[in-house]
Formats: sequence, structure tokens, C-alpha cells
Amino acid sequence: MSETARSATEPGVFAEWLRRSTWVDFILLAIRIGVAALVLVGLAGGLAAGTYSAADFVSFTMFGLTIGSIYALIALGYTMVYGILRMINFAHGDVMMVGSFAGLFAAGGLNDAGVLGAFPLLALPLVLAAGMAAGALVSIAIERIAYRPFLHVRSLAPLICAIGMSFILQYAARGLFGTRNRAYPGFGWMEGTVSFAGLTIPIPQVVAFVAALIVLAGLLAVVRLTRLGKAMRAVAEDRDAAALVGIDVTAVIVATFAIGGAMAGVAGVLYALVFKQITVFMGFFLGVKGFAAAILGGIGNLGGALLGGLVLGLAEALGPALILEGYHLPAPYQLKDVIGYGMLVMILIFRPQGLLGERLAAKRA
Amino acid sequence: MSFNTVTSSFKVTRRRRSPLMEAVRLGLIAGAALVAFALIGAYSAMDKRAVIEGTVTLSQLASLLIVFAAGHVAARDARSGTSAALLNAVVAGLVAGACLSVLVWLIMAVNLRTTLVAASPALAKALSLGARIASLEALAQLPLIGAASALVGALVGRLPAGAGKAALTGLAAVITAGLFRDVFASMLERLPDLTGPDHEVFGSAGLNPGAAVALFFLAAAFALVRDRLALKRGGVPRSGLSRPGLVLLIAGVVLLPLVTNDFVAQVAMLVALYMLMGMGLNIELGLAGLVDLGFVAFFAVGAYTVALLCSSGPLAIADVSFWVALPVAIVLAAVAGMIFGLPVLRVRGDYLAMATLGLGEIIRVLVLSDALSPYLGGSQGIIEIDHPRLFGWELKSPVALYYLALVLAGVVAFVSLRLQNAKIGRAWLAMREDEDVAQALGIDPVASKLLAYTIGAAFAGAAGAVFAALIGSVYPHSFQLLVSINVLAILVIGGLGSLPGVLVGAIVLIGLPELLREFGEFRYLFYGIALVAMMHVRAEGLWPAAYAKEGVHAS
Amino acid sequence: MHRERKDAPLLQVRGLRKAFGGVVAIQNVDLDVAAGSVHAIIGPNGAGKTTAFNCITAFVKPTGGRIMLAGERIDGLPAHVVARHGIARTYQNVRLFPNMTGIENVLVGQHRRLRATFWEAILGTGRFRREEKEARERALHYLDFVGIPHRAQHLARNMPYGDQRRLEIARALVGDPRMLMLDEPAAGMNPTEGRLLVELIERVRGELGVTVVLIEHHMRVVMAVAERITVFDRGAILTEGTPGEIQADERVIAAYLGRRSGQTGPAPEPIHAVPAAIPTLEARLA
Repeated sequence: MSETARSATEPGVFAEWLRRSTWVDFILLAIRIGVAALVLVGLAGGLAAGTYSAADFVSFTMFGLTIGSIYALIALGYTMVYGILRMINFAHGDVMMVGSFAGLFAAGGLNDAGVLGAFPLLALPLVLAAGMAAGALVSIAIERIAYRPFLHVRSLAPLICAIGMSFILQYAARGLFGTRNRAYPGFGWMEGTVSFAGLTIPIPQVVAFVAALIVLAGLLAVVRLTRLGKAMRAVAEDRDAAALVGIDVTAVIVATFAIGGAMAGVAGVLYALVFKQITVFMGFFLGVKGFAAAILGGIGNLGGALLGGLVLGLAEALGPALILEGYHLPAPYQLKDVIGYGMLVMILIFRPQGLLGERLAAKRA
Repeated sequence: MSFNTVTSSFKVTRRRRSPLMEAVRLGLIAGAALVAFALIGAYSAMDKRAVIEGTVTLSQLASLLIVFAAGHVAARDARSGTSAALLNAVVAGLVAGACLSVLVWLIMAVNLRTTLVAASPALAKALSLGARIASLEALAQLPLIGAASALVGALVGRLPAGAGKAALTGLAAVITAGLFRDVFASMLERLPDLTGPDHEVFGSAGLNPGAAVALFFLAAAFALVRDRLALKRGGVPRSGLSRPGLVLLIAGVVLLPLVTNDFVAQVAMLVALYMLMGMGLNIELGLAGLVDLGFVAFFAVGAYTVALLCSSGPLAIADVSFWVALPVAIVLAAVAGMIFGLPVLRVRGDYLAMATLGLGEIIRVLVLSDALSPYLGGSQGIIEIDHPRLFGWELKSPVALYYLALVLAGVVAFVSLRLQNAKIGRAWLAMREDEDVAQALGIDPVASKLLAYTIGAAFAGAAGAVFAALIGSVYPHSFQLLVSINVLAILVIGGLGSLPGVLVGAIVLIGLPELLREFGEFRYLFYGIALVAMMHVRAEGLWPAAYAKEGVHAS
Repeated sequence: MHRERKDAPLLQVRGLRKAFGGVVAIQNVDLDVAAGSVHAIIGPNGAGKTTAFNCITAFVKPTGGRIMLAGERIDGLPAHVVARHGIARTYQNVRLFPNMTGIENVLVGQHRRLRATFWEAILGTGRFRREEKEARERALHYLDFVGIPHRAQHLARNMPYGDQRRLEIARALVGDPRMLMLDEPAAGMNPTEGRLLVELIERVRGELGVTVVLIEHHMRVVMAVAERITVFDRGAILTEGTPGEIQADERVIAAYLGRRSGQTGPAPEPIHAVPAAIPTLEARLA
């Protein structure tokens, strides 16, 4: 062997890292350290400041879990579609908005028909069903218009079409339903709070959290146990091979969009129950949060969507109090979106496979 | 590796319907479009604008065109003889009109307004076209009008090619003149009055009927003559724009504000600003293939820099001339671009879209927050920005600022062209085509992407600087995600990677909706439809770049 | 002195290993490519030849081992840095920039040769113009070198397959590499085109002094151009030698036929049979 081969033997780990690294790696490392320092300093300051009591933190946590479960439901749609098409459904957030409005009108109709008063417990599933149906239908339309025609070409076309669909949904809804905020009708029994182990929690939050878990469990059962679920996993694994063994790929894709849309519809109704008011423009940025949750958990991974949603919800709920408070910023809650979007950007850069990273298609990422 | 051919061969072939069923289906589609048009409130809004004075309003025209198109398609798709084709068209028109009749009846019979805000009696009244609201007469006339319009659409399709095209040209001319009455009327005001006061071309709201008829025949005759001449020269009659077309377009852009009023100049100014931004994003997206939905942040950096440096308000940190602030704004925007670019360099495609979107929103939320409002004014913004001065002359009028933006746009176009034909431009294109291969040829992908971000951001910063000087104040509200989407849409509609495409896209998407004020509320809906339609019909854009003849599909 | 220089390997690979998840694609790969030589890599499909190529050109990160070019370690470096060390390659399924013209493709290949900064490009300085002019002339020269001067203004995706392969070689050569790596350059070529390719490879080595490493299945091409041959099988190196040695090696024939198949029949006459037999065997195995 030549001189050089021997002379280059066994450098230290650090020297080896140094040799392989480019200036990009140094900058990324600097960003990592910077962000970590920001968070740690803020955390220390926030804990030291002691503005909030333990009870405050508990209620923040509960709120975080609630909004997190809604993020998780939205994230499911992104994750399922991504798993199968390796594409992001940009209009998914607006599907949620449509579901929310469908729920509103269903609730209004039930109220007029007296069902809401007579059978308050029955009304909630009906309203959820309306939201799911509307979400599924819109989602199917999106698939038909923005994705199916471009299934076999790798290009920007689906992304641009989906952005276009998002605008169509938002502004058509604006024209149809008006620009003002719409108040969701109360379901008598949902007013008030429950006390549990010394905690006081608003009922809608509990309902939203539990409903989200039930729906998620149902979805997991579908994917794990049914023929459709098996076909979906096959198509996600290899679309062409699935087609060759006789799976109707188009139908599976449509079903995926429909289920994702139904989940978004549920999210829309639950969101409205918790926040009481909805607008036609609420979907887009909630959609971005849902996407962040999907990425955070590991896109393509259903359990990851739940985890990502809850982590993101908690971070947004606790972050301002824990971290931003440490910098003595005025009105730290205005900046909760900065935490959410910041997590999105950071996770995309540093761990695009997410917390429970399933195989990430590096080519597409 | 892929089995595309295998999967695509599984495509289900379209079921054959009988011609009549096909006509009914088309009619229903057109009817759904009409109902949607009415229910989103567009009908009522556009009913206020007349295209032909006292005869046809904009919303009526749009409805007629929808049915016209349906009739045209119904007749074209019919394989049998002319009479069967015309029958199909009539059926489609009848069905479409009937859909509207049902809507009118429903509005009056059921209260839909709690759900659908536009379903008001006023809408029913407008759709009853002067007859008693929802009377039998009112309901019956809609299908008949629909049938007539569809029949005309079918007949135009059945005319000999030259005559059909001439008819469409005439129609287009009338519609254009009617829609842009304000622009043309203001131009005519400056010309000597040739027709005399009794024969004005324009009424107070649209074309006068006599003028409309004359214009139709003039334009149709022009189209006929042009085709004949082209045939005589041995060429094929061609549509679309060409090099002389580009020269004309540029001449129009340069001279337009001089011959119209301040309102048009202001619109032209906006178009020029969006051109600046469009050329910036063109570097990122059109050349380097980097989707950027946070683009508006660079625009904001440029605007806020000028605001802070040139304002005489309380938040100003200096009170310098615009000409000092402009380069500072450009440099700061470029630096912002570089910082923005750094973290997102590791992500591609759809992920990049989301990452940049997140970054752009972070900036907007920060500017709006109380935390930064002592420095940037929060939602109150920064006001009292001085106008630029040139040789002691204050650039204050829209026309003056328009020319300022235009000069900047010219410089930016020049720089874009130079870069496009240099090593870095080729590197961008290569990366867009195949990043791995480009890297294997020694192109540093990170450095080239960063440069694309930096230059694109610098262009947007220049646009922001002029914007601040134009408006005289900056608010976070002006820097929403919508601006990024607007710029993206301009590129997509005009043609990715194409500089003339940016010009065309900015005129179509920014200029036209601004001039059609009634349209304003619905412009984003229109954008959405335009983006989707463009991807389906003409993915390469209105004025595609030479190397992207197959457009985004090929990349 | 001179002999040592010539024999000093340009490329040294030691203990190269690559695993995709749990699947080991290649392991224990040692490879020496002498400067100025033509070195062929052969082996059945799936033997790990292209994976080795991808590791050397940094398309994939090796799991272990070292790669050295002219004594400098290049493993773990990003692909563009590896390219700057002087390695250029082509691809098994041609990867051109499809929407760029022939000359544009070759101009991109000159990226790292061009010095003019982007300010000079904006201002259009004399150096920039001169350099662009030279680059264009050089691009045309290399299009001519590979025999497609008439393709300069054609879009790459509209070219016939054979010309696309040539264009890919021109794009790789124009950047003055020390080593050119060709991944199945003769795939899909007829015998005439194969002969032209052999000629081209010999000119690349002879006129330009570029070391050539190629993966190839066409044994006529391999035997005609290669000075040394490395045989891959199941992710490891089976053997290495001169064309004569390889033709005589029974293990090579067995590897191509599939060792455990048991249906090889009577052993064919080893030395002469291999080059002629293997293309037909390939066809049978495929």
C-alpha cells in the first residue's frame, strides 16, 4: 500500500468531523447552538420570573393538549396523503374550514328542528358527521382537480394547483358565507367546566380531546385491520407494485383523501366547539400548524401525527409562559405562532424525518 | 425507475354517454357555474357595471359567456350533423338557464340567507331581469336566454374558421372596450373630439350600443384582413404574442400613464412593483427552482428600511434622502435573503414551500407584536415617509413614481438577463433540472441557492423601497402571505423563468383586477381558478421561456 | 522514478462498505486504479458495481472504508468537492439536463473552470466576455470530440439515445477531470456504436490523458479497452486481473451463470468462450 493510505489512518473523531464538514455544517451547528441557547436562557428566566402559578401551567397544559389533538387530526390528512403520493396537500387546512362550516350549518339546522334541545347528546355526532362528510367531499374534489391529472409527472403542478384550490375554497366560502365571524351554537350541556382531581377544565376541551382520541383510534383500526387499510399501506409502499397485484390505486388514493378530509372535518367542528367562533380564513394557517405537527411526528406515520400534534400544541401553549416570559417581552402570547412556525422550520432543517421518523424520501424532501 | 406506463394503462376509459345526456351534463355544469357565480355574490357586485350602456351588464355578460361556452362545447363534441349539434347546444343552454331559474325560485321560496349571504331578494330581482321577481315570466325567460346564447356559441363554432375567429375577435374587442371604459375614456378625453358630442363612444358606465356594434364589425374586419394578409404571405395565421408583440407591449407600458389619468398611473405603478418582485422570485423559482412562499418578507425589509430612514415621524432613526435609503434597503433585503436561505437550504420542493411560508409568517408576527412595536410601530406602522426628490423636484405624483419603478424594473430585467446567460444562471437552471447531477459537475448547490435567494431578495427589497415611498407609510398589513402568493401566481401565469412572462403576468393579475374595481372582492378567487386552469391547460404559462416549452411538467 | 509514477494508483479504495438499512450492498471493496489506465468493473446485475461508483462520487455516503484520489481522502466530502478533485462521471440511465441545449449542457460542465464573478457578469466586463467566448469554443470543441458537433443547439431531451450518451461524456470531459467514470456506456448500443465507443474511450485516455473507469456488460467493449478488470459479485470483489486472466477464470463464468444453479452444463472452453458467451448469457439471465 502507498504512503498516503497509512498516513491517513485513524484520525480523531473531531478531526474526522472537521475533514468532512463544509461551511454549511458550521453554520447549521451555529444555528443549533444559538436556538438551544435561546430556549435554555428563556426557560431559566421564565422559571425564575415565576409569573405563573402551578395551576396556570396545568390549565396551559390542558389547553395545549386540546389544541394539540386538533392539530393531530389535521396532521393525519397530511400524513396519509404524503404517505401515498409523497406530496403535500396544500389545501388541506381549508378542507378543515369547510368541515367547520358544514358543522355550523348542521348545528343550526338541528337547532331549528329542535333536535339540539331534545337530544343534546345525539346532536354532537350528527354535527361531526356533517363536518366529516363535507371534509371528505371537498378533499375528494381536491384530489380530482389538483392531484390525479399530475400523478405521473414530477413537477410543481400539484403544488400550484393545490395553492389555487386553497384560494378557491377560501374566497368561494367568503363569497358564500360572508366575511364576518360566525358564532357556533352552544350545546347546552357543554357550557361550564368539569372538576377532575382538583383541576377545573372547560367541558368543550375535554370533549374535543376525547373525540380526537376516539376518531384517531378508529382510523388506526381501519388502517391496521381492513382490506382498504392493507391496500393503502401497499400503495404507500410502492404504488406501481400495488397496481401490478391488482389494487385499484386510484380508488385507494381517493379513499385516502376522503379519510384525511373527514379527519379535517372533525378537527374543524372540534375547533369551533373550543373557540366558539369560525371564519372562512381560519383554515389556512391551522393547516400549516397541522403540517408542522405531521412533520414533527414523522410524516407518513399515523401515531407520529398524534405525537406531533400534542407536542406542538403543548409547545405553543407552554412556550410563551415558559420561554418568552424569560425575556420579559410584553404580551408573549402574541408570539405563540412564532414558536409553532419556528418549530416547523427547525424540524425541517435538522430532523426532517421527525420524532418517530419513518423512512423519509430524501429525494423529495 | 418506474412503471408509469403500466399504471397509466389502467386508466378507466370514459363512459360513453348518449349525445343528449352529454348535452344535459354540460348544461348542468354550466348551470352549476352560473349558480356558484350568483351565490358567491359576484353577480350582484358585477351587475353594477355596464359593458354596453343600458343593455348588458358585466354579470349578465359573464353569465352569457358561460352558457355560450357550454353551447360551443356541446356542438363541438357532437359527432353527428349540424342540426343535431345545434339541438345539443340548445338543450345545454336550456338546462343551464333552468338551473338559474330554480335558484331564483328557491331564493324567494326559502330563506337561505342565514347560510348563504348572497342569496338575497336583491339577487333574485337582478336575475329576474326587470320582470316581476320570481314570476313565471321571469323564471321562463332564463332558460330561453340560455338556449339562445348557447345556440350562438354553437353557430360561431360551425362558422368557417376565419369567420368564427373574426366573430370572436369582434366580441373580445367589445368586451375589452366595455370593461376598461375608464382607461379608454380617459385616453379619448385627451384626443380631439372626432365624433361630436351626440355620438360619444362611451356612456357613463360602458360602451354606447351604437359604438359597440361599430367596434364589433371593425375588429372582426381587422381580424379577417389580418388573416388574409398572413395567408397571402404564405404564413400560417397565428395567434399569441411574438417579438413585435413584445415591443408593442413594452411601448404601451412605457407610454400608458402619460395618456391616461392618475388612477391608471397608480395601477401601472402597482404593476411595475409586482414586476420587480416577480423578477426577484423568477430568479429563485423560475431559474433555480426554489419555491418561496415567504418572499413578501424581503419586500417588507425594503419597505421598512426606507420607512425608518426617510420618515419624519417619531420612529425614524434617520431622515436621509430616498436615494441613500434605496441602496441600504436593497442591501439589507439581500442580507435578509441570505439569512432566510441559510436554514432552508437542506429542504426541497413542497417542504421548502412550507419552510419559507413559516419563516415569512414569523417575520410578520414579530413585526405586529408588542415586543417590537417600539421600534417598528406594530400594527400602527410607520407614517410620514418623505417622497423621493430628484434634482429638487419631488417625485410625488403616481406618474413620477411609476417611472421610478419602471426604471428600477428595467435595471432589474437587465441584471436578470445578464445573470441568466452567465455561469451562475446556467448553474441555477442545471440545479432546477437535476440537482444531483449538477452537484456532481462541481456546482456547490448551497452557494448557488443562497445566491439565488440573495439576488431575488434584493430585487424584492427594491420593490419594497419604492412601495414605501409611494404609499408614504408602511403597515404590517401590507405584507401578508397573499403578496407572496400574488407574485407566485404572476410567475405561473406568465411562464416560469420567462421575463416577458413576468410582465404579462403582472398586467393580467395585478393590472386588470385593479382596473375592474367591481372585480376586486373576487380577485383571489379568480387567482385560484387561474392557477388551477393554467396548470391544466397551459402549464408553461402565457409567455413561456424558450427553454421551458414543456413548462413545469418537464422539470 | 517514471515507472513508479505511472504505477502509483490514482484512485485507491480500501475496505469500502455500504449498507442500505440492514441490506449490505457492498463490503470489503479494495480497488486500485492506475493513473492513465482504463479500468473496467464487471459483474452480474446487483453485484454492487454502481453502488461502488456512487460511493466514490459521493452520491451516497459510504458506511465504512476509505477512498483516496491521488493520495487525498475524498470519502465523506460532498459531491461537488469530490468533483472539484477531478472526478467526472456518467450515469447508467443517461442524466442530462433535458430542457437545456447540447451546448448549454457542456457549458454547465465547465462550471468550475470559469472564473468570472457574478459582478463581472452583470457589468459585462472584458474578462467575462472573453471567458464566455472561450467557454463556448471549448464546448463546441468537446461536442466535436465526442462526434456530435451538429447537436449544439438541440434540446438534450430531443436527441437520439446514442447522442445523449455522447453528450453526457462531453459534459463530463469538458471540466478537465483526472478520472472519468462511465456507468454502462455501451448499454443499448449496437456493435457499430460499440466500436465507436471503444475508439472514443481510447482517445479520451490517449489524447486527453484522462484515466477511465467503466462499468460495462458488453464483454467485447470491455476486452477491447480495459487494461485491468475487477469482477464484482454479491457486493464484494471476486477477482481482479488483466483481460486474459479474467477470461481464464472459472469463478467469473460461474458468477455470471449463478453458482448454485447447477444447470451450467459442461464447462465451455474457458478462454475464448467468455467474451462471446456472456452477452447471450446476459440475455438468457434477463
